[in-house]
This record gives sequence, C-alpha cells and structure tokens, in this order.
Amino acid sequence: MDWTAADDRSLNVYTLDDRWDVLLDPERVFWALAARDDAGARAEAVAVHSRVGEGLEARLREFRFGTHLTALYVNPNDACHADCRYCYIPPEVRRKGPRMDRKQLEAVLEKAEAFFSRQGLAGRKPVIIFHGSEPLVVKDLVFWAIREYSNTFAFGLQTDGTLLDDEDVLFLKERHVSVGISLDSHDPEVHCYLRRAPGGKRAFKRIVRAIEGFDGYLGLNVVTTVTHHNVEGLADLVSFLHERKVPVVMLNPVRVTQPYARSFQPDCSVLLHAFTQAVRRALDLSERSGRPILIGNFSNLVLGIVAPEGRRLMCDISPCGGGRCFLSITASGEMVPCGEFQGLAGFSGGNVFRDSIEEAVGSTPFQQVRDRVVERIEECRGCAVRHICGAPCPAEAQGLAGNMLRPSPYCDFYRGIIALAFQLIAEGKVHHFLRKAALKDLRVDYCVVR
Amino acid sequence: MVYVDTKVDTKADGRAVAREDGDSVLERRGQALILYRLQCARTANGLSHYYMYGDVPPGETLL
Repeated sequence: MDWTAADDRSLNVYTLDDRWDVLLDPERVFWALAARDDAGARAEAVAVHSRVGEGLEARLREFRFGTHLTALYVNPNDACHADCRYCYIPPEVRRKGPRMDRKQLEAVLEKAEAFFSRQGLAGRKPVIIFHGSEPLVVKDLVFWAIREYSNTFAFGLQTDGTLLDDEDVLFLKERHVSVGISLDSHDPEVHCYLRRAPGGKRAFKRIVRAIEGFDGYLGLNVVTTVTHHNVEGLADLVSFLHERKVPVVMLNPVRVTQPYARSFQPDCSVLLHAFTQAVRRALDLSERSGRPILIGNFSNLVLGIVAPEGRRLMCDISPCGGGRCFLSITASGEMVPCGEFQGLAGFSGGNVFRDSIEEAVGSTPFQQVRDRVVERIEECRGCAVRHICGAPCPAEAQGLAGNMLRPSPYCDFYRGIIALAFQLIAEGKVHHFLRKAALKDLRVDYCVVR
Repeated sequence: MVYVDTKVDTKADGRAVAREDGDSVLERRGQALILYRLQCARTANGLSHYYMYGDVPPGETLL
C-alpha cells in the first residue's frame, strides 16, 4: 500500500478498500476511517482532528524522546550450545565467548539495583531479562539469580527451550518469570534445520514438552524467527501453538544484521501474505474457542494505531528502545544499546565491570542510536505511517548499509500489515489482538463511531 | 481530554458519556465514520516493554 504523505499535520487520504478511506495525520498519528464519498464523515473527522491534534503531538513526542531505562538484557553466557543459522551474535563469539561466574553476575545485579534505585520507577520493579546466547547453558547461575533477587527485579528469560525439564518449568511458573521460547516451526525438520541445537529432533520434542508443561501460563510467549524457510507455515504454526494453550506468539522477521543472515530473508510480499494468513488464523481460533492467541508483534502495531503511547515493545518506534528504555550486557561486561548491536563494532558504551550504567547511557554510541529517528531517514520522511512502524531496526540498517539512517528492509511488509490493522479496525476485530488486562489500562481519549 | 460523540454513547438525557474501558470501542463497527484514540491510564512508557505480551496478570505477578 502506498502511504506517501503530502502533508505532515493535516489529513492525508488513502484508499483502504472498496468502502473505506483512511484519513491520516502522519505527525500526530491521528486517523479516521471514513466511508468513501461521505462528505459529512470527512468533515466530522476534520473537526475532531483540529480539536485534538496538538495534544496528540505533544504526547507522542514525550513518549518518543523520554529516556526511561527500565530493563537490562543480561547475557550470562556468550558461548552457545547451538548454532542457529541466522543468529545475530557472530559465530566466533558463540563458539568461544566467555561466561560470567557467580561473582560477576552478582556484581552486575548489584550495580543494576543501585542504578535503578536512582531512577525512580514509581514502585515498579526494574526488569532483568536473561538472553542469548542460550542462557540455560548456565542454568544454575540463572536460577540462583532469580531466587536471590526476586524481591528486587522482575525476571524474564529468553531460551531455546532444549534444556528445560519439568522441574524448571515449575520453578519459572512459581516465580512468575516471563519466558520466551524459540520455536521456528511445528515441523521438526524445518525447526532443526534453522536452529541447530544438540540433540536435533530429540531436542525439538523437549521444547514442545516444555511448552505443553507451561499449560497456558500467561507469562509464556513463543518467539518465531521468520525466514524464507518457514514463512509458508506461519498459520499452521499458530494453530499448533493454540492447541497447546500458548497465549502469545511473536512472528519476527529475521534480522539481517549479519551478512550470513541475509540469505534467509523472506520476500516481503510472501511474508505479508503468510503473516496475514497467520493473523486471520489467530483471529478465527480466538473467536471460535474463546481462548485467545495473540501475535505479539502485530498487537504492538495495532497499539501503535489505537493507543500509540500504550506500546510496550520498543522496536516499532523511532527512536527505538535501545539505549533509551533498555540496554544489553554481554558476558564480558560490554554494555550495548541492544543485543542486536553485539556483533557490530563501535557500539559499546562501556564495560559494566569498570564503568557505570549512567556512563553507558550517556555515551556517544548510545546517543547515536537515540538520534536515529524517522525524520532523518529520507525514505521515511514522506511516509504517513512512519510513527506507526518506526523503521526498525537501527542495528539491522547499520549492518546492512553501514549507516543507521536507512529504512527497514521490511518496509513493504510494514506498509501492508498497517493496512491490515486498519481493515481489522473497520471490522471491529482489533480487540482480539489485545490482552484483556491491557485493555483495562486503556481509557477512551476520543471516539466517534457511526 | 475525553471527547465522546453523543451519537455513539449517551445517557438518557443526551449527555456524552466517557467510557472507562477501551474494549467496547474496539468492537464497534461503523457504517460511515470510525475514529478513536485510547490512552494508557497507567502508562509505562516502556516500563514493562518486555512484559506486554508475555506478562503475568498483575494480581499474580511479582511486578
């Protein structure tokens, strides 16, 4: 869909389908769906727009440019037991990277606790997410930290799931840990081809057993990296996960930050078609069963339209959350704006064993990432949906072109799924893509539906 | 700021009513015009960015 914008702070008109036009102010993300050739509807939209527009712009600006560091991604282990074909961490690091010992992880968490105590998080616990390389290679260390610091931090864990046993699942559920499990396909052949882990298909069975063991746990999400190898199976994967009571799946197009990942990039039109099928499948399953399955990254994009400041995933916004809402700490202690920068030279803001977290946040590399905004990207400047997609991701653009000020390699895909989101709004279906608990936190700012 | 069109949601005397819950707005199907905006009442501004879709309900969570 062509979202070229003629004017920044007035309503641009786009044809959505046979019936509806989208009226969109790009700078304020004010939108309306107006029936084609209904002059009264258009006039009413213009009237509401003139009434609320300035306030929307101010709110969006604060949301975009406030620095609220609330989470740290911690890689306790850089050497991985697996060899996923598209991993953003360079192979030499995954083969021989260091791992933290207990004393080092303790030092990181103590420093994090002191840092967050100075931030004023309004009573909320800061978040520590153990991330990859596979963190459960050092399971005892990770579980020790969760036990010891559960009063201080909320914990998340991103894992390939191959090392989870029944006891671990119980432990994570009892401690309310948010768990992401990587699964690229319901077909073991496809999954094991993309994510090469010890044990092969036996490991695949362990992952599925772990997912089933979580038994509808709301803290579980399954993360699927979408490549041209698995893109056709997304809808069936959604069905597979829904049968296993998974509440949320993320269907993330592979980041092509590293050169070897580029051959896995799915074609944008194929991706859009398959993703749309997956969204429709999720909608159908949720409606028919009464048990929702959300596609998390699509839900976040829907929020970017209906409640832009309610977005929680900080990739689809510019500047992104890297170095602003969170940062990532490698096993050697390097602090980078996001794990995606780990394999790129020149983006360390310091070493946590030597420098303060404040110093990292204030460092030039972190500032560069915070300065990467759609207004500075030529292709995005004239796009009406630039504040809905956010042109992810700066690391990917840097890896691809040596320049962060480039658009997303998935630009056409984003344009398409934003149109899909508007279609679902027209159908009155978008509530199926938002959690009930999240909806309770949203109040109506303005509304006209007739 | 709360602005709710009187044609959509009114009390018996015709005054506008601001709904607290965004759910019902999202379910509406319009014939001529659909426009709305929801605001985060407890905005996190990224405070819980990781927890949005994998989160544990507030009553049960350590958050």
